[in-house]
Amino acid sequence: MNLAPRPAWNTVATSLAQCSRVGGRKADSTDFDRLGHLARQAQAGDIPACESLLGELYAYVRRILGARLGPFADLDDLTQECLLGMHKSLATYHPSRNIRPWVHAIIRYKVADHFRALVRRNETALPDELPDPAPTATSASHGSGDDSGTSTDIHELLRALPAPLNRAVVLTKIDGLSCEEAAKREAVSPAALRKRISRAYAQLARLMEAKLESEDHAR
Amino acid sequence: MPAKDRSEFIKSVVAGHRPAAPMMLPGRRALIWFALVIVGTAIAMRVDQEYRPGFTEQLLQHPALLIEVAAAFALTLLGAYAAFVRAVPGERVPRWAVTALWISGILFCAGLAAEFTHLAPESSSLGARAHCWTEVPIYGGAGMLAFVLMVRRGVVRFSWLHGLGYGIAGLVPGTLMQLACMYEPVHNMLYHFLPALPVIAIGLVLMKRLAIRAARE
Repeated sequence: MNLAPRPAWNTVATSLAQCSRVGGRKADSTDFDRLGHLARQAQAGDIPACESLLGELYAYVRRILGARLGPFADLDDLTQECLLGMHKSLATYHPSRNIRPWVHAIIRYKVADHFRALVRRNETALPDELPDPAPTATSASHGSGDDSGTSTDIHELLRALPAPLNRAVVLTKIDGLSCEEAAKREAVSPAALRKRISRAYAQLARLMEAKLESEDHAR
Repeated sequence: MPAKDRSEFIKSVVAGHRPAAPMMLPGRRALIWFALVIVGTAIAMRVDQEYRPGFTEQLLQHPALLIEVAAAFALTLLGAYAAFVRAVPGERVPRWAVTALWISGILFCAGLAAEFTHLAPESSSLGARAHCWTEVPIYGGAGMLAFVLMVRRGVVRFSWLHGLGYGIAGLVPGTLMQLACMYEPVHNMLYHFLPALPVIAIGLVLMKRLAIRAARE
């Protein structure tokens, strides 16, 4: 893991805007036209259309999350959260609009909520369990393919964090050290390390949301 | 929540699927809300007491007052529009609306400042209402409630703009009070516009709570 010093924000923003367009690679405008059509049918109460819509969105959302978050989330869990949000908010999609910004906005909200939940969880009790790298590997088995840029984004965002926060996350979540071991290595108390991880997650939530939003605007 | 198998998950979601009629476009919803609020508030105020005698002549003879009132209504309508737009995932407030929002905000502030100059109508106690300062938050609260009812399905997360949209409902009775109650600059500030501030604050708190609830669901 590269622990390079924090680059200037505008450099990060530029590189983020240029980097992965995983969603765009797989799902072209035709796919979104179809998704929009399915969404309209689902709004009318068509159950098979709703099933198809969720099925197609499942693969799409999972691929995007895999590319953005890599090992930082249980991809299936978060994908299902996103799909539940989309199903619940189906009425907010207007048939005359492109469905893509709508889908991406809900993904963005859920990703930010995911990081906020991590902050809360970390503040109450340190989750020493490591994120299972398996989701990244299994994403291919879901037929989503194209995960060549897996977790590039999260690593980019990690580099944008201040060095102490970056190291706290890398040691515990990437290198797999326990909180006590990481605290010893950083010469701080476990509580202080936990605080750093919380702050890192909070910053990651903001950065990820801003990044996804800037990408949506760029499209 | 442990993740379910993909097909099992989709089946469980689809099992509870009901038709979900798409919401109206934000612009249309904002117009409907604005029309309801302005007509409702104007009628309620008229029922309570007559409007200030000669307020139409004052509006025509004093462009500063006309600009202040028009800018306040424009600010309310555009603020509500922006809030309705922000309630739809992926929608962005158009640039023209942001520009118009700023312009109407500046004009409104200029109108308030002009009240202390010779451009404003002469101060008088003509048309004074006994409870103007309580009427503003009551009517503003009703407008905010209408806003909540129209937007509640769309609240997916907290947005300051959205919260201000709730609270901006307080500006409608405050502005109408400029025409219905006595005209005196200090009285206007303290009893017509200041009571609108709690409505704005409540709007922000309400928005926060709804967004938290939406996130939990």
